[in-house]
Amino acid sequence: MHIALILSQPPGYSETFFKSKIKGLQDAGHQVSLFVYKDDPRFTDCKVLPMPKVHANPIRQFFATLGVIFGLLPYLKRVIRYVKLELKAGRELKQVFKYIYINATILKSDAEWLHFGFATLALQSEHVAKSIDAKMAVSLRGFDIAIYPLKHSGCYDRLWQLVDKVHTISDDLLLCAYNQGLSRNNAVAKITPAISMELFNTGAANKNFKTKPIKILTVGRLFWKKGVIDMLEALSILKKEKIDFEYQIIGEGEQKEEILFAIYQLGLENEVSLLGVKTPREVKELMEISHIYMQYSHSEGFCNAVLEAQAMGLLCIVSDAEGLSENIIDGETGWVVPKRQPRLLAKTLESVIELDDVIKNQFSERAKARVKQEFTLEQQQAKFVEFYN
Amino acid sequence: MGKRLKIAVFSGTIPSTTFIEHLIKGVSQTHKVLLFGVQTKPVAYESEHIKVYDTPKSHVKNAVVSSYRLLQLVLKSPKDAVKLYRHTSQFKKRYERWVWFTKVLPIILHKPDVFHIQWAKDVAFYTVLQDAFGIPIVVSLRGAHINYTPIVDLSTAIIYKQEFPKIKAFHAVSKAIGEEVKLYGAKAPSIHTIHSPIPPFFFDHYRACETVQDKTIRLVSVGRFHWVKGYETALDAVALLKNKGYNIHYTIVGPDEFTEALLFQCHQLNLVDNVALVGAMPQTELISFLRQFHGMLLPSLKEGIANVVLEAMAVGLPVVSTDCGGMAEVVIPNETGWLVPVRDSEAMADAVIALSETSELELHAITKRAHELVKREFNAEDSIAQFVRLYEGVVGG
Repeated sequence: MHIALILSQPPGYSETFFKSKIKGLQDAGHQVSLFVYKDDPRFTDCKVLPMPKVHANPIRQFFATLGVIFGLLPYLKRVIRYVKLELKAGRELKQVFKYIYINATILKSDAEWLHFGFATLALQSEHVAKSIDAKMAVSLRGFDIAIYPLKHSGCYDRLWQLVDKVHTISDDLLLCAYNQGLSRNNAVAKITPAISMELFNTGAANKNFKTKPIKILTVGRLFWKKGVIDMLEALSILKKEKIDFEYQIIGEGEQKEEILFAIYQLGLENEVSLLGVKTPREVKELMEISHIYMQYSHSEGFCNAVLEAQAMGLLCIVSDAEGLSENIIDGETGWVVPKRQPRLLAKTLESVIELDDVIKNQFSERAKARVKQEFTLEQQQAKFVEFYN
Repeated sequence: MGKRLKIAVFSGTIPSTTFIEHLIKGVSQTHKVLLFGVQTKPVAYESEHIKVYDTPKSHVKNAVVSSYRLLQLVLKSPKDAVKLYRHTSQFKKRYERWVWFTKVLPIILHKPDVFHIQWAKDVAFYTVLQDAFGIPIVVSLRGAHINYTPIVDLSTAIIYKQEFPKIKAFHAVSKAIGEEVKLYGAKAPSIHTIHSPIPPFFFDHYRACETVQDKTIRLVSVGRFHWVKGYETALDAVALLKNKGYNIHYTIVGPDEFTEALLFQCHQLNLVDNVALVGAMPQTELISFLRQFHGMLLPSLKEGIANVVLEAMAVGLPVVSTDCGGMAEVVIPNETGWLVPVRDSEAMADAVIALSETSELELHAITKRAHELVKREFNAEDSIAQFVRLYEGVVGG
């Protein structure tokens, strides 16, 4: 079977989710090709086909359009079918021509499945699958379903009507889609992210919780939905209680100014450091020397970093945003705290820090075991092979 | 009256903000005002004592104007011309040397008695006027330049620490900001608190506010969406009030669409029907618009002193403000309003409840006191007179 994945760009080195998915499908004997808006020559795992670029220079755009028109001549039937479908759905003719241009590469494909890697990527391409006699699948990943539609109400109405199968990474995101009009009769499959146990592996040794001060870690872009300010406010309460801790955040982002000001205003300059972006290997090393992992997001699809932290034996404290409450089993493999309540987070942090080392190790070991059992790349690959059958 | 002094009111652009334009006009009653910088819009000042010496944006025009200015300077004071050339030769790129030469040239040529920098970050480029040419510098401490830039950007803090100890005089918009500037080495006697004036028509529109009936509370905030304004705290407080059974309506008046973060928060906290956005409006319209509310929220993380709060106090609207910057100097608990810690939505919700339970008599006593305080401390005449005294002090030694 030929499966085409549509992404904005080829998966980078650390994006195990897509890389392992592609490998799994290839190992099962399927042909996989990748359609991207922005190419990256470093990616060589499968065939990559760039989508036509929209040029700012009108002369370049003219020749690019000419090239696209000639390229599509042998596929005239498909193009006519596409135009008919689009017009029937009430799209303006001018828009339709623009979309033919954008979708030209896919219109030429002989794929049997078109799988859009994020729901937002399917906007403007809803009728392409039908035009080339392929089935359409879409993945719900977090931002695309939990946040994007707030400013673009009804943006997925067409998609829901036409999609053949929906992939979600958590139950909560699927619920978001149902609330936004996805039919409950639609075929769906939940396949959670998975992580590489080769890299994030501590061996058999128990984590040492005796070292002081308590080291707390978060990995994530410095971006509003990650709830960094709430975490800092909770830590300022810990400081008032004279608890000795260090907090490190791995990541960069547009919220940095606000976060730096909060660190200053809350008097946490000695305790908190922003480390910037780190490689997966460096992340692993920082996890090795940390005790607690915190992910108190306002919104979170699932969060690979929380899986990695569990695999590394850290005590994980997370919010109940979307997929996080499925990532961590509250009171068993970590702690799930209702979101947007820094005081409650501080209380949980305090009680976790005060736990006996034996109990801490029990949590750590249970989390490790569950991740090793339920979130392996092999399982994820098998589920994706099944997804297209 | 003695000889008119030449006061340069420098904000980089001509015309400047409403506020700085007001200062320009006010000062021109007593002294000459010189305006340097880039002219972005045509200006026509009535007063003959306001002179514009702009540096044209077009390179050709600038070359002509600046050549003429250079000729004048060489004739007037060849020494200064050499000094200016030496100063600009420190810039590495030829383009930068040219730009800075043409920006500083008219200032050296017309040598004001005081160079008043409106935006503190400009000290990096203009203290040379004092160091090499003996023009005393006054610096205003307003907005982001003092409120958070030097805190989140280390290089700005380093420049402030290097330059501030030399500055002849600072203008702080509140006592709190005056205290803060000491962190960067500003000397106490050089710091002068001069309040920003509130336009008189606000005071003319004072009216006793409405009181809360049947747990239905209408709140308002005015301002753009920026993290420093702390709207997350206000929305959290609104959610708490809603959960406590209050029928709550929160209106934000401002020029922006919701940010993604705030829109998401409204949905997540189920506040979509409780929160409304209204576009920015002229001050005269704003006054009557504000009448429908029971109180104004100021959830800011940092302020010099928030004008919107002063305006609310002037027209008689009760205020719940965070305790940041100079807010505590005007919002006095049990006297003129409700003051709560920053980042504390529970305290803010409690303050709104306290406001709603205050008797009409007591509430009107509070808003009357607030009105009187602002009228006394933030009037235009006093403000201009204080600036004039400040300039005269700097020149007199």
